[in-house]
Amino acid sequence: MTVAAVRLAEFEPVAPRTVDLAVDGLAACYAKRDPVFSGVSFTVGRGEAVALVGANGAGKSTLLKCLMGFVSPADGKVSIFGRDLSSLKSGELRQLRSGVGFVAQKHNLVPRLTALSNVVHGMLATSSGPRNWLQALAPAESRRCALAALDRVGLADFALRRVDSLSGGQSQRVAIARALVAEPRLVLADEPAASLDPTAGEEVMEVFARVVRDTGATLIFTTHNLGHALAHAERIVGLRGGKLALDAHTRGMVAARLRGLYD
Amino acid sequence: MTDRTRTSPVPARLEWPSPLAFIAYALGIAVLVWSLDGTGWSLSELATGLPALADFFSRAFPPSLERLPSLSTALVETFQMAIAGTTVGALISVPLAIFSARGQLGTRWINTLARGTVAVFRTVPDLVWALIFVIAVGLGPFAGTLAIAVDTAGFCGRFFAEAMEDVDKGPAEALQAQGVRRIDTIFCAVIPAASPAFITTTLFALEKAVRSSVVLGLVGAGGIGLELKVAMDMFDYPTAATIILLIFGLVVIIEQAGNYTRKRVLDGH
Ligand SMILES: Nc1ncnc2c1ncn2[C@@H]1O[C@H](COP(=O)(O)OP(=O)(O)OP(=O)(O)O)[C@@H](O)[C@H]1O
Ligand SMILES: [Mg+2]
Repeated sequence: MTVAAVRLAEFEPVAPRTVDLAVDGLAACYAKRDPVFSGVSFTVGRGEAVALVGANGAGKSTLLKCLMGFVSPADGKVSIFGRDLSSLKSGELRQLRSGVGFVAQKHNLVPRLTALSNVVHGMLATSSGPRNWLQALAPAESRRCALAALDRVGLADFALRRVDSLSGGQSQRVAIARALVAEPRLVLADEPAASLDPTAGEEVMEVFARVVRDTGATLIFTTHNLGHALAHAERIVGLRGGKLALDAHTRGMVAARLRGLYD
Repeated sequence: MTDRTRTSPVPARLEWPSPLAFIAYALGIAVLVWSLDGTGWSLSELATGLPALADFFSRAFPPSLERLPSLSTALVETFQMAIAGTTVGALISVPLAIFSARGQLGTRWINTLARGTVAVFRTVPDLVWALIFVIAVGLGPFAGTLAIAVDTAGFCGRFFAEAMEDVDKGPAEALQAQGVRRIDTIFCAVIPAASPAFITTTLFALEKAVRSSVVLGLVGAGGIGLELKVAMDMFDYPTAATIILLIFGLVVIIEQAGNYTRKRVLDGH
């Protein structure tokens, strides 16, 4: 061993934060068109909460789709939990995704089924099969976890209500419970509060950020609400004109400084 | 404000068809005339036939209740054929629909096979299926039930697949983003969302099955149809009238029950 190597080791942080997500030189484009963005690099450590902001069409949703492996990068790479997505076979990708929770702008719940059944579906990634198709068939353990998840978002009393009879805010909270029931290490959300009125949006964002923080999961969410970004994220990543235009801590940041992203 | 006066000219109410469309219309009318001619349509023949029809009705009235018990048994058998055949057929159609719906499950080869099977089931008329099954399992209601099952599998297979293609992709995709398998998303997200269409389609299939189980009797595949044929062949019109009324009653009851259930399902129950 050389002396230099020993010296370098001395400078390593005492408790390095595990990197859950690493994006390196990422570029994405749809069908031979100009890239939506390129040269995007950033890392997210275990337990961090990151807001992804940018104007309409800046590529936030596309970036999230790259993170989930739904859009293959035109260039660069995405690593989740230390594994390069492009190197994974489909079974391995599914395995990896089972450690990820996802919430979209639309709640995307299965109509006609109860809130509890919808949350039980969140267990399917880790235990596949007919028993977790409906709450009525589900193993006691699944039902207990699902009910606990509903309880955390304040909807335990609505467990047996059909989701098509719930309000938008309640539906979104059920979707959050479904995303979190299997205790994912990484939670991705694409404008989770955008379809809700300001009060409900505030509540849902509040519940969402708190529940994710409680589980210690890493959170990446997109939003157009800079208040939400500043209140619920430790860090803001901004896209503008196809580039990473901002990567900064929210501490001491004011919304006015972010206006430039939308010019 | 001057813009207002510079509007484009008012379009014509009807546009002249293009030459190609004109030829298509002309061809359509020609085919219709040719078909009416080929089938010997003649109002005068219909007019001379009307007294014969009146004669049939006068001789059929009053319907004979003499054989009501045995006719009722045959009617019940018809009903049982319809219920059993529709249920079995609808169950068979679920896997066929899953494999033939676009973008759900299976390799391209399996998809083609499933679509082909559904197409064959649907395009071969139920009467032909009945003839085939009479040869296979002999005369009687079992042959008819099999014919209805195959016909229903073709009918439901196609519409179930369409219903599955039409449901909102969001829920299934949201679950796939979390690593849920396709097979699971089909059963927990796609089929529940498509279930109203499944139920209404199955009810239509049942109504269709009741009507066709009457016809299947004519080729000896069980049910009340055979009784009707025998009565007509023997000029026993009062009995035939009873049979026709019984069939009418059964079809109306099934359709009403179907309408009621469909309405409840579509209202969201
Ligand atoms: N499926 C698609 N096919 C082709 N182009 C797409 C597709 N989805 C998005 N785009 C294009 O990619 C660009 C980025 O879209 P994206 O949805 O990622 O933006 P966004 O930042 O999420 O916007 P918003 O804030 O409106 O949600 C847009 O120009 C859009 O037109
Ligand atoms: Mg978006």
